[in-house]
Amino acid sequence: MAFFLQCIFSGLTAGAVYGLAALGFVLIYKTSGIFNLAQGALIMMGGYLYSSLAIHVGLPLWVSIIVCLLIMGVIGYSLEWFPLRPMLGQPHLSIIMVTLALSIFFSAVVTWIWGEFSVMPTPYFVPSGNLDIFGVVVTMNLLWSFVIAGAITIIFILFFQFSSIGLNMRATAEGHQIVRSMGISVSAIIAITWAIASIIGASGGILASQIRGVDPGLADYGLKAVGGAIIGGLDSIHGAIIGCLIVGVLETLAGGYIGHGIKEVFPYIILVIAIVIKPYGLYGLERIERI
Amino acid sequence: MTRKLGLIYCIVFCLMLLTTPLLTSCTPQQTPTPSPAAPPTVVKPKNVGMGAFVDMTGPVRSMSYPGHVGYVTYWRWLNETKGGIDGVPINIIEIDTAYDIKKMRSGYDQYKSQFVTCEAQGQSPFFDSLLKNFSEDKMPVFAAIGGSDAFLYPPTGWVFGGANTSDYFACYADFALKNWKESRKPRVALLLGDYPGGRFPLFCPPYLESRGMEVVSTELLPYRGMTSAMDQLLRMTQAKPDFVFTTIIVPQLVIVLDELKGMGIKLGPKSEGKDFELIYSYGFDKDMMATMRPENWDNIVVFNGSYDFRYYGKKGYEFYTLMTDKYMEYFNVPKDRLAPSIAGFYAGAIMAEAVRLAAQKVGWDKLNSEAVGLYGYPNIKDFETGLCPKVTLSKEDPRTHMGIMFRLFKDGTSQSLGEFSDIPWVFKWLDQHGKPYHQ
Amino acid sequence: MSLPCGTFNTRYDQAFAIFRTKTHWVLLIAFIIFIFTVPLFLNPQFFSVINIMMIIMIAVVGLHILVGYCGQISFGHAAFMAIGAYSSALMMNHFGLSFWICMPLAGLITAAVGILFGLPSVRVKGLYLALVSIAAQFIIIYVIETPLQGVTGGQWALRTAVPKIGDFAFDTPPKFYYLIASITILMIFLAKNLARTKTGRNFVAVRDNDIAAEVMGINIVTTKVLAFAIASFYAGVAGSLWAHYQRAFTTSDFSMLQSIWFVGMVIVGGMGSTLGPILGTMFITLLDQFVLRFTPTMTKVLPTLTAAQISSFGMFLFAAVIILFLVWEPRGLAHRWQIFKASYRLWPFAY
Repeated sequence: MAFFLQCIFSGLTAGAVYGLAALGFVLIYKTSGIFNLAQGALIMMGGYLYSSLAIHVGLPLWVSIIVCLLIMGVIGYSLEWFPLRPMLGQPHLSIIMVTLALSIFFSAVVTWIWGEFSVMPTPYFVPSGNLDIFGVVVTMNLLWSFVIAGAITIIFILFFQFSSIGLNMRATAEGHQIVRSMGISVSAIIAITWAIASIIGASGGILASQIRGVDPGLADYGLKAVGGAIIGGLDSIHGAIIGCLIVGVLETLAGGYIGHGIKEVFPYIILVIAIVIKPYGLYGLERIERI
Repeated sequence: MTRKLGLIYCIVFCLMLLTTPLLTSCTPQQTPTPSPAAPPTVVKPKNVGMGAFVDMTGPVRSMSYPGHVGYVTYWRWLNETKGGIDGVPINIIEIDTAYDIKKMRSGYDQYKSQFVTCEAQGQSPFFDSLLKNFSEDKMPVFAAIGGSDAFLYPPTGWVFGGANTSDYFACYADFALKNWKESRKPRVALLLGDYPGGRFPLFCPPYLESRGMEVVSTELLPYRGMTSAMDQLLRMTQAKPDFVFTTIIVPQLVIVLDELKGMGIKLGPKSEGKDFELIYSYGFDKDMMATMRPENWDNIVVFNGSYDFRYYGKKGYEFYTLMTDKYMEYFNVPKDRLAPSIAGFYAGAIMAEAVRLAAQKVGWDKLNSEAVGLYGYPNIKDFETGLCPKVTLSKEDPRTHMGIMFRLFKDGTSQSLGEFSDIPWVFKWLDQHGKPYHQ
Repeated sequence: MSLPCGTFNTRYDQAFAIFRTKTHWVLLIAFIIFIFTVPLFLNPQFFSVINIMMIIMIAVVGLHILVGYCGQISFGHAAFMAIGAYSSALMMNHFGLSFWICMPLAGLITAAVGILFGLPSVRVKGLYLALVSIAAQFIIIYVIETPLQGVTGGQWALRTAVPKIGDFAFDTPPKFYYLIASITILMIFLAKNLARTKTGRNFVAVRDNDIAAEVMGINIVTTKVLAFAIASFYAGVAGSLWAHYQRAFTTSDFSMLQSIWFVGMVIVGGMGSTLGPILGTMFITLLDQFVLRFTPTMTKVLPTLTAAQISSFGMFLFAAVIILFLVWEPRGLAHRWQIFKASYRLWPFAY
């Protein structure tokens, strides 16, 4: 029983990290219909930027986090200007391809600037140590990840629901034409969306770096995010989080009870079954088509 | 960005594409077989190519890059101080494989005509898939770290600068058994990274069991996107091992150490009342120590694969310091960064020596990869690399890297744990006992 | 297709002809002669590139049938290629069958698995289907690596023998080129022909609006599953060729990244015509090669760059070219080619 609880707990905290990655992904998909394959690269850049600012530039820890998020926000904002604004209205698959090329571009940037470090040093702000709750070990790392990811998600959902920019973003998700006729600049909204998604991705990268150090493997969280987001339903913000939590828990349970390298693939097996049962994800907008 | 500008860029790019054949025809051709009437004077070529395959931008970078820069530093130093090998400059061809098999293949295909020998650090898929190509091209390869068929059935001229990961585990078995005082069999858990080189020790259990150990747990940790290994660590610790042998890479190690600490596991020998000893396979440098939390890597045993320069005394230490300074100079590295793996330096020296011997034997005009494989590496006897004790290679045992030492990390420093021990060749053992590892 | 001035279609077979005018036939014959005489004058080192490119072209043409004609997204194509490769290699190694039997059989086996993973397409559409294909990619590779480890060798390379006709073995790249060229031309022709059959029209109908297609009486279940089967057959054939050409291959040859690049090649080439995947494969493969060859000259021009910077420069170039190209022409190379053809036919008139 303790083992089962332990798996659930570790899975939830792992899922929290994936959830941050998925949040940005779903946000972009909702407002502009773009399947952002570059999310993993943004996460990686966030981690590297943070480490570099703290260690190479020598800024104090919290200042470097804030500066990192600001820089990533600016990068996200400028991504809308090029290459996404020219691609507005083009076939969706072409835009997916552009995001893929962007992910390669960001990997190249990371290698260019920080390539010669075999392993990038990481400044740790999460204290070491653990909590023991009813026989279940929760390391500080994972606890902080869970709390911070949860906080960011809640702040974001509040922002999305109650602020005017959030309202604009939700409107853009409904339809670009409507928003234009209301006098709101769709380009500006999409730019803000990308900026927010980059900031969230960067914070995910910073959190992940506390767990595993900074290395090019941070980009792999992008793919996990895609899986989790789709389970939860691509149209739904809270669906993304829940989907990722499910992925995290399933993964850990499989690793705990089956082992033998099935950990990575188990969520996908469940996904296929889930998709057949609930095609639009758990919370996705169901399009009812009947013949 | 107007569409016209994009059009101009595209046209320029197409022109560049069309000039690719011109670029390729500029590359030097394969050294041809000599004409019957060779001139009496020795004609030295413009340069001699040495290939270097490394994962610079991919997931196993932390394992392969530190060794790689050692080779390159040595060769550049050789070019600078001695004008290369016997006056022929070395043309260093570095190919980034990013642990991606397509890049490995295309890199090898493109450049194999330009180098006479090559090295590959931690590129098991490379050895594995291209083994036939290497045999057919008669290309001698200096292979370091990893795990594949090549380590059991090496083609002629192959040299192993680093043992394969199964052999590492055999050394750990020696280390474990040396200080084992109790009467029962020691229990060992294998904690492997789920990438080809890391999975290789899956074949090691028969050897470990023959040495009187008991393999109680085998776990594979995914190396992509892993956030927590708690589930698998729990299973492992429930099996109550005395030793844990690992092939995990740095990001996985960071997570594992953190979670082990969280579980209250204390690393260290059972005799001191601790839970188990963890042995990490890929050496430590300052970068890695900066990546990990210092309080977590206490009492971890690290396999220090290269020769310790202190073993060779003052001379080795001076040479090592020289190489380190050169490295910092060539790569614009700030003063407080630690040097790359020592193994890279002496491996580079061995490769240069092999080329020199082959050139001496057949002449520079006839030098090709076949010659290096036949007359270069196998003729290395009592070769002093300037860094560590003499190296002798033979066809039966083409390993340069015969001794390992363990270091213990404690209280912020590392201390060596005893003398060098020999690395057994596990697959030779398995082969002799009639069980090659795959049918 | 738009016809040259003065050519009119008066019969159905003329309207559907692939090679309509005499010029088309002349060009076709000249092209085939060219393709088969290329090894005589081309530097042998190019063949490794060309052979790989043609094998990938087969797989991408297959993927295009699925994505471009039938509108179903699949990010799992590389895994199907893996199935083809492994089944072909294992059949040859274990049962000693000749290559000429192994290859079609591998295609059929892959088609069967393709049908299995295509079945969810009747429930899900669009990007959710993409997830099923991503899952297929991971699951298939996992199954090959772990449970079937004893048979396939797991993560280690599986070695194959060379294909033979009687005593003539295709063992060097130039010889293999003939084999690959013939098979590629055949498969591309079949794909082009597919477009003008009833099945091809069904595919296009399902792509454009599957509900309308169902209303018109097209069984969308059969159509979608058939599209998956055909695409997987192509992937299986390509995989089989890959296995026997490379002589040793592992599952890392068929990774998720490769799948994504296959889709990329279809997109860059342009969807909707068979020329698209051909051009897309050529573009991306040649871009890759160019970057690979360009980087050493970079070292000589700018020696102060570190090795990491040089290798990342290659990636920069690659990404930048793809982005610029897609911004300039999002509908792909084939579309640009159509515009070019139309403009030279109509020149100097703009209409």
